[in-house]
Amino acid sequence: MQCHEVASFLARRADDAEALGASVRAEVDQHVAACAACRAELEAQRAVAVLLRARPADRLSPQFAARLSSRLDDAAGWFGIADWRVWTLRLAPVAAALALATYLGLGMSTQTSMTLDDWMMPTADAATESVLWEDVSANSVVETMLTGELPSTAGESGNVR
Amino acid sequence: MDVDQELVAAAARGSREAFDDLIRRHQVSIVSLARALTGGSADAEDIAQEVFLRAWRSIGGFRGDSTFRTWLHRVAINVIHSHHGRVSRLRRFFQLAPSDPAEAADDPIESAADSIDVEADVVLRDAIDKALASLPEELRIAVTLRDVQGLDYREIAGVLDVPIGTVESRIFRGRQRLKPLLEPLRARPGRSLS
Repeated sequence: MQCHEVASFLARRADDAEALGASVRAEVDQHVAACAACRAELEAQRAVAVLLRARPADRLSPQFAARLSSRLDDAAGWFGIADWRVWTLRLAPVAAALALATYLGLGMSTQTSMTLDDWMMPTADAATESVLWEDVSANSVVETMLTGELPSTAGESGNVR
Repeated sequence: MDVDQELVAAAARGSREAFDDLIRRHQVSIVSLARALTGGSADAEDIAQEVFLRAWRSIGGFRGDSTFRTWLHRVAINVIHSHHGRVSRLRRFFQLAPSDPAEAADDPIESAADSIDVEADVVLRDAIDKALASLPEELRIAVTLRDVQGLDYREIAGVLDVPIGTVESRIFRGRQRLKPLLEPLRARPGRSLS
């Protein structure tokens, strides 16, 4: 093994609990025995690991357990209500019923609604009808606006389109 | 056999008592993880609480592909990552100076080591946390999971969802970078850490 190959195993070799495979371990040990630089690196890895493992354990504040318990209680209540997965499952039958009702409702309204032709059928009185649908021209519109009266018939106005 | 297994099964069925037992078993570890990965932040307990809240909400989805400890650490890493992002955004918004000791101080150990006689445990922990905080995030997480939390390489690979070779490389490089930073602590009289 070369130094760059050994390097990738030095961290694990430094951790006694992390046994490398027997053959790899033998190769690494053989290289380290002959290479001062890798031996120094192995010792450095080991020293840092030992120091980090000596990090004193944290002490929890006295309120930690009570605060967490209170938040978990809230989670069981409000957060449970706000949990979209719960709502999704519980509301699935309602959503299905609404979808069905909407579908049926649309079907009925389609059958009873007016068609476009129904809307286009003239239903106004005759005078309005004559302005809107028959002899409508620029002059008749101007005349209607000026006099405030609808032309009696298209023929009387004599307008030409 | 994973000693958490029965507790996890009961908690997944909605037992708060079982989940409280799980909390008692892992709370110190998760607070330590949060503190070590946030440079000794005072928010560590709040972060740990958020970890357990998320775990409680999603324990029903825990399939047991890994140990509960591995799964909980994965949850914790996600919460801590979100915390880092939120703090960074707030700092950018208010244009505050970084509190990251790696950015704020040239020597993260110096100030702590000077007062090592005041309360040795607290100072040592603070110094280690600040040294860890000076590492790039991926190295910091790998080294912390291994040397502070005591996870094995396979567990770390599971938590981070990376190959074991990547874990080995990150731990190797992380320790390399930590060596000069921790040297003042090793040289401290009365300590026999190596």
